[in-house]
Amino acid sequence: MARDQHLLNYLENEASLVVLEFNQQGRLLKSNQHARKFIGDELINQTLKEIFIDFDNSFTLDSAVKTGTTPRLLNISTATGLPQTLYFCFYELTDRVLAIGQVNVAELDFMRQELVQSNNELTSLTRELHKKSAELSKLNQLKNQFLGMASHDLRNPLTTIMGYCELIEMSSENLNGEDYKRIFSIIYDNSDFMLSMVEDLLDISVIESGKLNLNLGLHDFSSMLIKTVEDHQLIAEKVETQLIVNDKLPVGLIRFDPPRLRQVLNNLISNAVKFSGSGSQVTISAVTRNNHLQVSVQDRGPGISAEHQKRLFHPYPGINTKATRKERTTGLGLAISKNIITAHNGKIWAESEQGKGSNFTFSLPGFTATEGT
Amino acid sequence: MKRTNTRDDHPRIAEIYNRYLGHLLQGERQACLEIINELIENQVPLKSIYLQVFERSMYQVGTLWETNKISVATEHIATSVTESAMGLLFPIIFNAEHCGRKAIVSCVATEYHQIGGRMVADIFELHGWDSYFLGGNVPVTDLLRMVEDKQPDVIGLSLTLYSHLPDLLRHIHSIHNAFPDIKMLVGGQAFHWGGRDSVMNLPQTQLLDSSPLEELENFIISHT
Repeated sequence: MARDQHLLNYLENEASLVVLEFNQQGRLLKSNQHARKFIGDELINQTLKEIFIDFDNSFTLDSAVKTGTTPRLLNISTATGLPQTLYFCFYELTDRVLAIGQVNVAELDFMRQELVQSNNELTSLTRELHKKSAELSKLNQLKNQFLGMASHDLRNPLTTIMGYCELIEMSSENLNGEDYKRIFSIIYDNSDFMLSMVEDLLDISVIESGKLNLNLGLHDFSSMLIKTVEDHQLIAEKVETQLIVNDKLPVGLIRFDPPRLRQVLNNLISNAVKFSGSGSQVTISAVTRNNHLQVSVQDRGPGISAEHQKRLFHPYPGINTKATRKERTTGLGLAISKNIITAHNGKIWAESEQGKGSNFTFSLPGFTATEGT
Repeated sequence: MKRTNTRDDHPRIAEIYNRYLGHLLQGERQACLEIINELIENQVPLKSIYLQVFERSMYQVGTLWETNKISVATEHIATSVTESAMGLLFPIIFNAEHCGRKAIVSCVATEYHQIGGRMVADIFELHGWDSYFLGGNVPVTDLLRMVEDKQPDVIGLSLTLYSHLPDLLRHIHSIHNAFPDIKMLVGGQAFHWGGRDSVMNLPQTQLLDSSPLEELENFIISHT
């Protein structure tokens, strides 16, 4: 008897079960503490239909009793305002009906797992979002810095050109032929730099908008390499730098866009010349490895620090790109070159040691040797 | 991290920790967030917040759960609140200058407790490493694909439940077979219950043991 009372006390005060006692007319006579907490305090005298949500109006006390102890899925209104689905068993006593409801633990566990998984995904995504946002913010900052630098670099040669134009206008009677020659040479150099800068800016804008279209065809790369090196001979000689091309260039064909690859070669060779000291050498070589054409431009300049190497091919490197002899550079050449090589399904990289020089290499796939190799 | 700190570098940290833990166990999200915001405003170093608030409180929550003093629901709520609180530090964490090193941090398959792994990923990020955090319950095939793609310098594997140790060992072997040169760091609450011997002598594997986040920081400093 004492054990029965203990069980009843447990059901009334402690069990996480909804226990409802209805009279034969379907009105609630009694509820346990958990039911009052879960559904609400003002339950007494409420009807079955007020407590259970009966969508198709088929739920009666008789039908409930018939299902007996077989758990039946029923929706009930709760104190939170949100309906809850419980599994109910009905027990017919002498003068009343006992309804005992509980949540499905397996279902609850499944929901919990789903919730944990969703929460994990959400927090991971939030983390990624913040990370990307920080990266974008840094990039934007670098871009703004770069734009400021580019505007400044464009204004400087323009100021020089205007200054010399004013000089010609104001003092033309005092200038001789040699003076004019020198002034026009300065104006030409400054215009040339501005043109190359504008071209680089246009190129980087095309590349960044994903509109870089290649006009690919099978060509002899080595012939183009020799011509490009010849174009740089004069400038190299002026600064007493020797351009050396390796003896045995590969003979064969490879698919590429000639003006674009020439642009890459121009960037690498002109950089190597700019950053080499007087009396130095720049070695240009091309070899084949596993059907890949590998082209290297090696200088004996000051080299690049490990810190600067990390952002070397970035469009907004945020580093000082000053050359050794005060030649000006936009700093965009390597970023443009990387994009051109990548568009050819190739790779470009740099190896450098401070004080010993730098070696820039790119490789392109699909080299087909022809006779003579 | 900008500064090196000791455990006692904030005079009221013990009192603040107790207050935070109290709110955390009650699931009082807002109160916990306010405490972290207060620490940020007072420029308490992130290392102190991670070690003396997040790591300490979550180990305490784990111990309370393991000794049946709190329910799994309380533990999940505490985790969720801590993850929100950690989010407040994102603007500082992701502001570090990148050093070019990469780390992948992941939990093993079947392990849903990801907060320890996330702390590890954040510490890497604080030191300028690029950290890719894959989250909880990551199948080994997905992890290997990510390693192939990102070519990290190190992989961090987090284990919270001791019962998942066999999964961790399988992950370690799979990674080592596919990428024998990559170093692995393993750690987590699970090792309080054992398993040290199982991972101690595995090739390329280092256990972050008694003070995991501090040991992690030492590793990062010596590999940056």
